[in-house]
Amino acid sequence: MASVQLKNLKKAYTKDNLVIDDFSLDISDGEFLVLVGPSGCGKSTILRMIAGLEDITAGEIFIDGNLVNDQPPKNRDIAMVFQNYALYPHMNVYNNLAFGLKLRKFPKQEIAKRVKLAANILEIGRYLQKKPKELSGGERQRVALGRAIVRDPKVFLFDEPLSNLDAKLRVQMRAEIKKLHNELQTTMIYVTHDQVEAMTMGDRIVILKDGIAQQIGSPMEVYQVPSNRFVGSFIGSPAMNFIEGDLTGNVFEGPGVKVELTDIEDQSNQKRSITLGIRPEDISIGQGQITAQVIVTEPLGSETIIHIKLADNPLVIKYPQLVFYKPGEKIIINFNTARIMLFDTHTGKRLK
Amino acid sequence: MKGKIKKLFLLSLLTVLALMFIYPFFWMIGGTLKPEIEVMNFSPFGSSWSLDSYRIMLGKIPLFRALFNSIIVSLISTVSVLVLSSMTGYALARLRFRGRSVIFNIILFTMVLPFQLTLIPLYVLMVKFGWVDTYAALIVPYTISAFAILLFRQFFMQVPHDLIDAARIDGLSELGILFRIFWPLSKPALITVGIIHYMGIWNEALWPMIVVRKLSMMTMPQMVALYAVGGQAESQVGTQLAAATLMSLPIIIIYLVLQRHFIASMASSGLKG
Repeated sequence: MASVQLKNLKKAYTKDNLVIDDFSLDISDGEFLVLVGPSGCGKSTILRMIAGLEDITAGEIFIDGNLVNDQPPKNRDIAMVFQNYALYPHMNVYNNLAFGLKLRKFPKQEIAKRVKLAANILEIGRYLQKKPKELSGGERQRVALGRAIVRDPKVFLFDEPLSNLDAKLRVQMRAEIKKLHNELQTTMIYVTHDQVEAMTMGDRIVILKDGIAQQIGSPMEVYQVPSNRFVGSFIGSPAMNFIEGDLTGNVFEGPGVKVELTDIEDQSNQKRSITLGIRPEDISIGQGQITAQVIVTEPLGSETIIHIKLADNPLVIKYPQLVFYKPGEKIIINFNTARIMLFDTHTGKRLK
Repeated sequence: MKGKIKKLFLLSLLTVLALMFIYPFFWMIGGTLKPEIEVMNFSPFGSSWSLDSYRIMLGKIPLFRALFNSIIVSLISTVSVLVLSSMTGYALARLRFRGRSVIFNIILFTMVLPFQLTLIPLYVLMVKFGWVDTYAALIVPYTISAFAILLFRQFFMQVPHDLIDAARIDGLSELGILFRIFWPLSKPALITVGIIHYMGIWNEALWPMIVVRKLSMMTMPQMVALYAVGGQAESQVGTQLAAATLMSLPIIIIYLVLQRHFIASMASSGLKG
């Protein structure tokens, strides 16, 4: 178990191509931290820099208080689980698990003990003599997890480990990794592009865009109080709705919508360009003054996703019951004003 | 019916072609066993059989010494090509360093140059090093191969990068990754390169003729060529054929033993024979 500190990390592949710019983060001992962001945001690069698989251009990385900038991966006492499992195809499961320990010259008995323990935790005991190609995707990922567990490292690193699995298996493995964290209480750093994984697994989430941390906080914090429009749109499924318009005093007016906001202190009556943000579950149907047209209804069993059009602006509603509207049907909707968020249209920064 | 006739015709044609290809081998072996007077007959079978041609040939030249030399040279050279070329191929495929593509292009360029072009400079080098009439002259110029480097590079580029990262985290060095992860995964490439190179070196006659004069240092093809055309055979075709048969036998045996791997390797390495 160990803490990880990243101080002013920079990574540039060429002079003009800065992938990570001045990234700092303190990860506590035993924390489950998730780095989430769209493709190319630099999340995997940060993980690989922590692992020592990628050189850093500037900055410092501390693991358990020790500066590891110049340490090769094998000396950092980390274990990594990869998206493509990265199991050695020519070795059976037992040797895949034992390989790292053999290289570290562990006694045979100790290796056997650790492999058995990991195999029990992950229920892969019956596969030990099989080659990776004889296993399914889920089983392979368990073996990859096992390879990390047997090492008993200070830090676990996960690089999109569930991306290659089907939806059902992903949900199952998500819970297993979380369970594993509860059992081992080891620091885990997890990279994903899937915001659902980030929300359900992380103690804290770092939302990245273009190599810059947009927000760092607990899942609920980033969901309920996003620091900018990007975070608001990235976290939450379906994504937050945005309507661009003007704010005069405490009245927001946009295409097809006029809302009076309750807790606005600005009384100057000066017109400002503002983007209104509202989560799909914060729009109610059946009362209010806003008329919208239904585009399509998606019944999900326990709830319904309704795509609507508000003066050519597409919005999504998450309705907690099963309803059905025909395409083109007019419905009356209402915004929960207490949950409305306002963003600066130009900078994207959250104002309310 | 039409399809059957077509198939029959094709099979007959292929059988004739196969016989045309295999006949000279049978004829050669038959010629070594027939009485000298019948050697030039079309039929591979003679009126009587004897091993006299072999006895006469072995009495005149130290062929077993040449066989030993050929085995030593081909074996060391092949092992060296597998090790050094795979190391170079690994570096070119997987390590990032300045000038990597320049080096690769230079290596590719050397494949265009015919061996005859470098023959004289290489010979001068051998003389300067004092390597004439030594194993070094026979082996060192063949310790690495551009073709093998190219093949290994292409093969190694297909290995997922995550596997290398996993091996680095597990604690393997670059050489460890090459020999403990890449080699076991590259059996087809290793077998292909190994057999092609071994056969090439085994059959090489020109280079040994240039750098070796001592009888005890000669390789099989050199010895056989000298025996056959150099007058020692005294125009006895049977003994010349006996020398040629003994020279080709080991390589044929190797090929037959490894044939299955060789064909599979050719197919999986995407290399056309």
